Amino acid sequence: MKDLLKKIPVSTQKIIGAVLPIIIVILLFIFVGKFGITKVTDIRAKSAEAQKDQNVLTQKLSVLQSVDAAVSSGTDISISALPDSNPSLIVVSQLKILAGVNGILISNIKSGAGVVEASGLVKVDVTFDITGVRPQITAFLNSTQKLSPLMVLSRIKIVESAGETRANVVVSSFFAGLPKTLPALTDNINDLTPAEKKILTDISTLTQPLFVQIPAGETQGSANPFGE
Amino acid sequence: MAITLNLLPPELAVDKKLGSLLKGVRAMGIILLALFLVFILGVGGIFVVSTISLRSTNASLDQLKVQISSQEKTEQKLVLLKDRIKNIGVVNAKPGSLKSLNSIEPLLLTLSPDSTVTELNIDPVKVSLTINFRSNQDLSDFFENITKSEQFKSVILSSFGYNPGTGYLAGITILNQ
Repeated sequence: MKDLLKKIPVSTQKIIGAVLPIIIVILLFIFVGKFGITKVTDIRAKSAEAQKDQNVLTQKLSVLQSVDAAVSSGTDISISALPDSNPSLIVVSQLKILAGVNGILISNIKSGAGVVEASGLVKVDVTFDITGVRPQITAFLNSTQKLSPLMVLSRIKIVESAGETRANVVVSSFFAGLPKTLPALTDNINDLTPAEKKILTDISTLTQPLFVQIPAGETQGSANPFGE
Repeated sequence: MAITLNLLPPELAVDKKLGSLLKGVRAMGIILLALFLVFILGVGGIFVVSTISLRSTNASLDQLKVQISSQEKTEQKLVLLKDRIKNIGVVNAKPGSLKSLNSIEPLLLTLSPDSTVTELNIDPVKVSLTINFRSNQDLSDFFENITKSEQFKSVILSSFGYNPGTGYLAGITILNQ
């Protein structure tokens, strides 16, 4: 090796001796720089993502801590307005009570099968006949919009004869399944918007059904049911 | 007078021009090395600072996640409420027949007690009604009121009859705005 080096002219040796460190430094710049910059970029990206998640979670926690007390009662009212199961029985009950209040006769109440709509809502039509005088019938029909669960008057057919008004009415009520999953922990959540608050205020004025929930019995059976 | 001595063997002597060039190259090498060290220190510094910041953010994130988990019930209620309200909005946007009924009702109230609405069919799109007008006056008043009203897109007189015993029988179809 030494012989080989001795064979190289001195000037070439000097050039190599001066240029080689530069080449090594440039190579170090390239390799170490590439590695280092990749690592730094990677950790800075992770840091930025963590920072973003932190902002989202801070905002989410703030919303959850400051969320209106109305949300608590609002869930019950909203489920009453749009139940998660077929509301036809409640609708019939509400209509019968309303008919009594308006002094009209309600009969031939029929409920159809649920029809799934494109929006995901299930529509249930309830058909019935009402008999009375026209102002009372109009008042009754208007009052259906103040009942919970929500109803949409789909069709009204009114026939008058001998001072008596008879109407055949189709109301559509709706239900939809409850959400089954919570959004991801790092997903954003917002408080109710003014439009949502308005809907909540509107549905809170609806007449709630008068159903009584009977709690599961906790009666203790007789130790000896055949004894005295 | 100073005498310049060059004791180097002639085979080791380098051309003067090449010598100054090599000197420059060596200086450049040293500068590059210094720059490289500064670069390494800079990158290393940024890496260390970013790692510390990431660790601190991750610790804060873990704490936030624990706090949010303790608010899960509130989150459930809020998600449920938002879902219901969204669906209620869809229901509220559905066209109903009540608007049509309330549009036609004031016109029917102007009829005299002698005239009767024999049939009234209302759906979200149109109103079809048959009215038995006992008098000429009732008939002309009704049509005058309905033409004045700006609530309807079109009013079609679909049938018209006269019976000396019962009066005029008019079938009307009204399309909503």
